[in-house]
Amino acid sequence: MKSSLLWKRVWRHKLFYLFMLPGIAWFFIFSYVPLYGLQVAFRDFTFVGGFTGSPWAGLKYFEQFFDYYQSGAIIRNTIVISLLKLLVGFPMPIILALLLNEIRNLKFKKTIQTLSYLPYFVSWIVVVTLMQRLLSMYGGPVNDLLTSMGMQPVQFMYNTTWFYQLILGSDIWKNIGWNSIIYMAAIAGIDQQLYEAAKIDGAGRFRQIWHVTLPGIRNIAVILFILATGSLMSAGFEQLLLLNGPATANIGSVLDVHVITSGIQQGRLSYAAAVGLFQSGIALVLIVTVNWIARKVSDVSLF
Amino acid sequence: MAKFRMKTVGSLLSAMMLTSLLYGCGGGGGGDSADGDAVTLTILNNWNGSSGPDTDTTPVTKAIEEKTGIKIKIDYTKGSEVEKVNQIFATQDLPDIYTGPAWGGELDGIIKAAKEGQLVDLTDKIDKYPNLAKAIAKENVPPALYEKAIGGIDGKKYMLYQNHPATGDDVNDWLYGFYVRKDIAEKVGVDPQSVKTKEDLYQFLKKIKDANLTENGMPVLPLGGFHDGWAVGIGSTMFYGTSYVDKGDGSLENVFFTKAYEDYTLYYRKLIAEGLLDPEAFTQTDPIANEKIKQGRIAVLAAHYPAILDASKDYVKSHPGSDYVPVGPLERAGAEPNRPVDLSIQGNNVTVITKKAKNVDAALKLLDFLASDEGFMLVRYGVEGVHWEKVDGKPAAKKEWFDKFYEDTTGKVKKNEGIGIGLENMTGMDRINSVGGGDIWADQERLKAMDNARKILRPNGISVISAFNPGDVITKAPGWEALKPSMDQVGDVWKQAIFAKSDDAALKVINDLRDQIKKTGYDDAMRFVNEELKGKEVVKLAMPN
Repeated sequence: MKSSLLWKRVWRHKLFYLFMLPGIAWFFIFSYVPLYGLQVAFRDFTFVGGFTGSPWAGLKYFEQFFDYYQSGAIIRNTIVISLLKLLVGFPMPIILALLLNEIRNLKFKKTIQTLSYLPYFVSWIVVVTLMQRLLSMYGGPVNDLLTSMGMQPVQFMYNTTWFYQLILGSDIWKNIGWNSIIYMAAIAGIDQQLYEAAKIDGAGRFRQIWHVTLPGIRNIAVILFILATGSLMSAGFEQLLLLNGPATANIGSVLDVHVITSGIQQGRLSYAAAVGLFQSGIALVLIVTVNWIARKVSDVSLF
Repeated sequence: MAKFRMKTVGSLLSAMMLTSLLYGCGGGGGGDSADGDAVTLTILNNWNGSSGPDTDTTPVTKAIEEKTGIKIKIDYTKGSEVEKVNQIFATQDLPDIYTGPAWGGELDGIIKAAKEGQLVDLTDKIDKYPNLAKAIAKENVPPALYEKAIGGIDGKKYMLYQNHPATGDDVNDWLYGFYVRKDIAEKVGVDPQSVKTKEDLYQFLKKIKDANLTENGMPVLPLGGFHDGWAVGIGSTMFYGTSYVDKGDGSLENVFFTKAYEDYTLYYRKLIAEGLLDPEAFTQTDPIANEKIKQGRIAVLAAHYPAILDASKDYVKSHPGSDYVPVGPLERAGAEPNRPVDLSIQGNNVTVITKKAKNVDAALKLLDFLASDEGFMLVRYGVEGVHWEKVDGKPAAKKEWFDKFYEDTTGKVKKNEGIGIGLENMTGMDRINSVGGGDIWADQERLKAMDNARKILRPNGISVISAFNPGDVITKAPGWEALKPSMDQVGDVWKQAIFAKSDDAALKVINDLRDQIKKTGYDDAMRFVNEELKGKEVVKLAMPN
């Protein structure tokens, strides 16, 4: 009886469910179907045996990873870069959304919003090429400006001194606008009467932000924070592949790139799958832990 | 009604999105296809940066189709060749014919594919194709390569081998070395031929740096290279003879474990630290490298001479007198001054037919035609009577086409005729001089420059290496699978070391990898190598080629 009621409701809103279908199909095809391939982390992958027919190898490839002399450094680099991105990068879209919300000139607001979204659609290869051109020591406009002011040219790219700044700066520039959309939507959903009540109570702009806007987006921020902790073991494959070089390898070699180089470049698919599985395992533990903490200290949690 | 229309449009849109999404997951796949009477074969030309014509059909491919009834479709690799080999077999996105480098990780990938049933066994078929059989005959393949791959994997022949010189006349010396812009050498007052030792080279680069030369307001870099650092590291020959050296007790060890390797690393570290070597050289792509050369911003280039001549063509055209000329000859570690230059002259290419090929006979027919004298000249020179003709029995370029190709600095016009589109990698043994008429498309100035460089860099001629290379033997050691991932890192670790903040930090980076290599079975593997090579002649000196 209950289930037939559910199907009736589904049928009534069938168009909405149809719109969901591509998203569900995407997750099913790209996130769930490939899960069967995880078994290759426990097998000696051969071209002829493939994912399901290669001989079992137990934990051989996990042991190989932990025996690898740079595995500690790679894990450390991944966590450091991800933590920096989380600590510095996470509040940025919130700040942008708050600032945008305070702009009263609608045209100006829309222009800024559009401009801030645009970098999200630019691929990393283009972003890094732009950075190379702008920051080059040899004819890059940034260094030209520095030298015209009597300063020494600086080697920004592939330099340990500037590595984290470039990683964080480019990541924020690329994602801040896009990530702020969800906060803008949350802010739009706040009851306007709350602002009016705050005004009557004598609250200025900052007080309104502090007492009305921020609590209004708190739940969504907590949810996004929990989700972001799941990416702690993943520092960003494309960005790090392109921005890391031999000069910065000691702080820039990360798990995502290690998985690709060992899997695709060296053809060690089982090893790469084992490292990838380890990465995902830790991510799952992190999400569950942070979710548990969030549930304990506030009433917001994912599950 | 409007609601109904909206619903219909919505449903249609969703269905289209889903269909396109699912369609995107389907394999494109190559393979034989019947197109009328002609068979179409897909070929992967696995050479980084190679490219083809604007359309699949060219005068040369048309001529091949007329001769063999086979249409061809070539794909090209943009990026790492090793990555490509692993990728096509892991994803099973296979061409009918694969052709690529006959060395390193690329060859290892092909051997793995052969062992795992991914390639067509040609053992029983090869004798029917004389042009192919000749190119893989034991006497036409270097011994270590024959034992390792070409002669058979587990007793079966899978690989065809190409571009091994058929005669002494066909030996191709790529003239690897350091080349300096003539005008810059004059500006700093140094005769490039007076630069002999590593200290001379360092001082020479320093003089260029101290001259603070600029080009269009941008500083000129003393030393540079091409993509991913190719081939700035060739100064290694000033420090050690080859990759495996005598420990002093008659046994061999990898040069990575020697003091000479440390000296070599610290020398390059000094070049980086003092701004003498372009720090972007190891991360740049070829287009960026070419741009720097075209802008006149690199004083000394390290690579093979044809690449340097190609890259500098435009700049030299607009700045007469700025040609790149050889530096040295530089000292060679462990070699007497009057010793001919030891070069590993061998074929550079292997071709295999993958299990995807449904029409193996057609593939062999095509490859046999390409390896014939007729096929050899067709893909290198173009269509006889159209692009070239025989003069006194030797091929000579038609002036009309020579001028067209010469004027086009991009090389696209030549490719659109079907010349230099990768088919030349499948033409059996190299017979460019013994059967052909040399490089008929090279202009006189280029030939003169090559001759001049040869005279300077090879004053005692060359000596072709025929001895065993321990690097080939170690890959057959029982523990090689565990050792290989560590050994594969030597190149990357060297780059990390030369960018280290101090000499000590550089040595630490090297020592850390040394420990890892030892931990993963190096000593056992070297015992195997020393045992295998007992009594055999081993390569002691080799220059890049």
